[in-house]
Amino acid sequence: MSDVGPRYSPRAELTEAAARARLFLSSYAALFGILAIRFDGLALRLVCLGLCLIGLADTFRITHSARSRREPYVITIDESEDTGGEVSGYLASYLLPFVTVSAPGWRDLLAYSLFLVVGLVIYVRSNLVRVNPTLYLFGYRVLRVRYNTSKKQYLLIRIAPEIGQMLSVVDVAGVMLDAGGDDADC
Amino acid sequence: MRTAEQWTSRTLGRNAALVLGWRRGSRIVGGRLNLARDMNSALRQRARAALAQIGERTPRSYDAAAQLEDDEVFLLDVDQLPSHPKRREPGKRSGAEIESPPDEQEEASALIDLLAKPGSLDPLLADGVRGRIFLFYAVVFTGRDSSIAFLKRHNPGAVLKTDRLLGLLGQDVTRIEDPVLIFEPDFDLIIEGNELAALTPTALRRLFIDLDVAAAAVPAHVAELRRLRRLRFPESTLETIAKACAKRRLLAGRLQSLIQTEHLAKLTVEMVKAYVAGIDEDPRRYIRDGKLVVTEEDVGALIDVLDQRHYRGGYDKLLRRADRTSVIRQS
Repeated sequence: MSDVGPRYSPRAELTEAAARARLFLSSYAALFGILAIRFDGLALRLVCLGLCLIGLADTFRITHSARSRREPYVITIDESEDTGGEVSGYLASYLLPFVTVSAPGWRDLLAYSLFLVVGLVIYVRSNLVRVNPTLYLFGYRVLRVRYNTSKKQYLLIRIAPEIGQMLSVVDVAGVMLDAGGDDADC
Repeated sequence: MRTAEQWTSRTLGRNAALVLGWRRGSRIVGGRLNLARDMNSALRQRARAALAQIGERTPRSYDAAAQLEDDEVFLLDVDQLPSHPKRREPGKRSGAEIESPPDEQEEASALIDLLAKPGSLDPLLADGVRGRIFLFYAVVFTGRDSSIAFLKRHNPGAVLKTDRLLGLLGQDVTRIEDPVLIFEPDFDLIIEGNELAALTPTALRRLFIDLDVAAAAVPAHVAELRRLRRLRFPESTLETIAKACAKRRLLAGRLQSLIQTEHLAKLTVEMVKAYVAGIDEDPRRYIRDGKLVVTEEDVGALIDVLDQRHYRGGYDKLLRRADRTSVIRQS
């Protein structure tokens, strides 16, 4: 087999999956907050509150770190459309806290955990990574964009771009994040 | 075409992107590696130094056989790169006909397209790049209006191919297992729009004439020779050339260079005979019954003859072979 050019790497897949798993926790941060309110036991409340705070903090850290540490690249927007419909579909899983009992037994907790594990596997193995309600709480919108004539990708951005607008973006777990700033020469 | 001063005064776009290029078949393709922000200033400094070098050097006009001295720079438009004429008539192509490999002009145009919008390239994952072979790396600075690419024909991951063990010097020396990229202090080629500035003598040749590709393209080049009606290559000679070039990759590279010369299509057997006689060689070494005929050992010598590689010393009058040539004056 030729040694020329990049190759498929299972380790690279694992790294990518780890980045997506972080975003999974981030996407359910608000759900864990609701569960913390719904559950009765102190221990359960503290665990859910902890997961909520970790998810929120990680969302901030992932986006802030990507914007401040990663060198952006420039794209030109040809077309953009909102993906709100996809997010509202994902929000169906947010019904979980409202069908739970406030004082769950160990079998209830096991069932909820299994639900989350299945959700994690689907999230990491699919392109659901773009659907993250917590990012909306941070002021981002998720748009499906066509850029540089023929490329298509999902873009996290606070203000929807105009057609023909040049944007500086960075890659975050398979989606593009608006890095802000102008494109002045220097 | 842009002057050396215009190149030197060029400002660099705010954003830098790192592109790795490699060959897939006869095509140059590329991918984008994410850069940390602190790499921007270091690479920008090298890019500015490369632009400054253009102003410090003597600009040379480009031709396919020209060679650069260390204090010279080629400033050229992509249209000036060698391009073999497409002699194939529409509708005449048979199923057995061999596809011609891209010429330098086509390759350069493809490279320009590749580097113009690095944001369009698929991102490369670090672990997928580790230990692999790449043709070049390029740093592309993108601004409001355009982008400018600084290309180095070097495999930045080559350090890991030499079985070296890399250690991180600290209180304890630890093994570096992550992929390491080595960036050279200079660049070979600067590309903006359709214009190129070549800073190293072999930048263009080494980038566009890949010996593996040249070897793979031998049948196509032999087919080009077959189309040269004026030179009348017998089939046996073409077979001999194909056999010799298939065995020797460097010879295949020289054949590729010959195919791209403009004078080849105008040559006749009589002109070749006169050239050979002019260098005091026996024309029967190459020409029999008015046709070009060579043995396998003489294929390299025939390529030299057709590529007009011979000259006599101005003082000692000894016959020499020009390994590097430059056209000084067109007239």
